Amino acid sequence: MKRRFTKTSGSIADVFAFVDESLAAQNAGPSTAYAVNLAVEELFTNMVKYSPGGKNEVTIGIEKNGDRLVVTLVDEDVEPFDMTSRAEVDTSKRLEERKIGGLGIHLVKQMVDEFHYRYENRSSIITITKKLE
Amino acid sequence: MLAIVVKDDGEVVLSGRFDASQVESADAVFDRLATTTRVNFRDLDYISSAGLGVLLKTQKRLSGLGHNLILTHMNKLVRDVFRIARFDLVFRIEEGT
Repeated sequence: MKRRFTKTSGSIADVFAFVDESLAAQNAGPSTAYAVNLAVEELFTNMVKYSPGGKNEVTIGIEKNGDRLVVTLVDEDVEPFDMTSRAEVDTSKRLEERKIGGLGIHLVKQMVDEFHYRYENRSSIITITKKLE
Repeated sequence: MLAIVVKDDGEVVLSGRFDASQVESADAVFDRLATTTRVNFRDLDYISSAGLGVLLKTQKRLSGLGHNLILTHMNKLVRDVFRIARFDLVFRIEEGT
């Protein structure tokens, strides 16, 4: 399934509704569902915050490929913005030094099986895969 | 949706989903906490970095006052997110659901 969403924080509820619908259609179990919800939320909200403008829409696709779910987010007519290459957060720091920036992407990296970025025809294309469990 | 109930004894009970759309309403409750507070996660199904951010900010502020958040009754999936974020080093988490 594939759907377009306006690139604004107000779209979050609609994005989750679409993700839940897609996961139910693929009989995803709770841990797969959690990881895909989290990945889509973190990636979408990062696009809203750090990659504004362009066509101002994000197309989200969730498809099954063998034993995996393949999730794509496409942000058209924007400058390159590669979240996969963001510096790792230092999770060993003490409370006073811990920051929330970068944590979302850290969670995505740890919770999905693959996380790729490519830039084509002025579109940022993020692909993640997660084994269906 | 996220529901936040503050009980008579001060315990904060979370239920639903603590995602980016809930930060404003959660801040309204957590910004008012001024003492050590138990936060019950029993009916919380989901938390993302946005929810973790609200808790981290609150813990930093309370810790400056000599207080803490005590997080209880997390389900396994939510607990895993805390572990991956290494927030188990930052928060006091009571094990067991």
